[in-house]
Amino acid sequence: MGSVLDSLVADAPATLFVAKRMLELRDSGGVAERVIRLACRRLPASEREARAAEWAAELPAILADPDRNRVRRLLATTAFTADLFRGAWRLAPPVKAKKAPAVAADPHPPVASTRVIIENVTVRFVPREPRRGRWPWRQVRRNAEGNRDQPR
Amino acid sequence: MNLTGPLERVLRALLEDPAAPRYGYELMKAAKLPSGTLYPMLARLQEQGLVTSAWETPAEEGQRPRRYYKLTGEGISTARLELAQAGLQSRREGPRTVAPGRTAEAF
Repeated sequence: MGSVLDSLVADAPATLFVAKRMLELRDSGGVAERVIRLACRRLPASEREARAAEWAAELPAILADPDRNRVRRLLATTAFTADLFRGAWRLAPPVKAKKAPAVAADPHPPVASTRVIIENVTVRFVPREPRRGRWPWRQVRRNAEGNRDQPR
Repeated sequence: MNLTGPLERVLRALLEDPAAPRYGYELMKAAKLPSGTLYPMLARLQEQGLVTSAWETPAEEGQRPRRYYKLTGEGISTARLELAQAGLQSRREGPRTVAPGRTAEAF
């Protein structure tokens, strides 16, 4: 018994802190309203506020439902707010795929561009008469320098 | 109008007293539908001009304004027609399973 009292006394500041935070949370609209606001973020800005106000106004009715006991009211509130994510998703206008901006026709189609790259690399770096053995890096470098110096 | 089971239940709930405006939670309970199904459906009906909504401030002070829904004149006639057609169809095909506790003969 003593240990319980001791723990209660020891935890009193934490308990008071949590109670205060819960009261603040209740005063600021509660968790359910925050969840509703979160769900409404899917909606267009023009109807977001109206929907949030409409759905938040239903919460007192659910929490004061005389046909349900306290636990079932809380469960109903949770189900109501959670399912609003689905509702907001269904209410939100469908997202259209972004259309690529219109551009002028490519003068070098992809195949031709690839061919140009291959030709350039071949001309610049690949030796004309590759020898057997290791890859002739020196010759490749020399060819490249030679090609760079020579005017085209 | 594509009359689905949930839509049928919402229309029946609204037709119980067409003149009386109903708020969302009331309709949820009457139609036994979750919020994520009911509100998009009401929005769709409103777009089609079958349901109208209005904000009403409750009589008790401190309560928030609530949005009430009710069928329009066109909505009442359309809903009755659709439910009657669904009733006829169910008589031909057998009992429907979408409206528990209700029968199509009511309409």
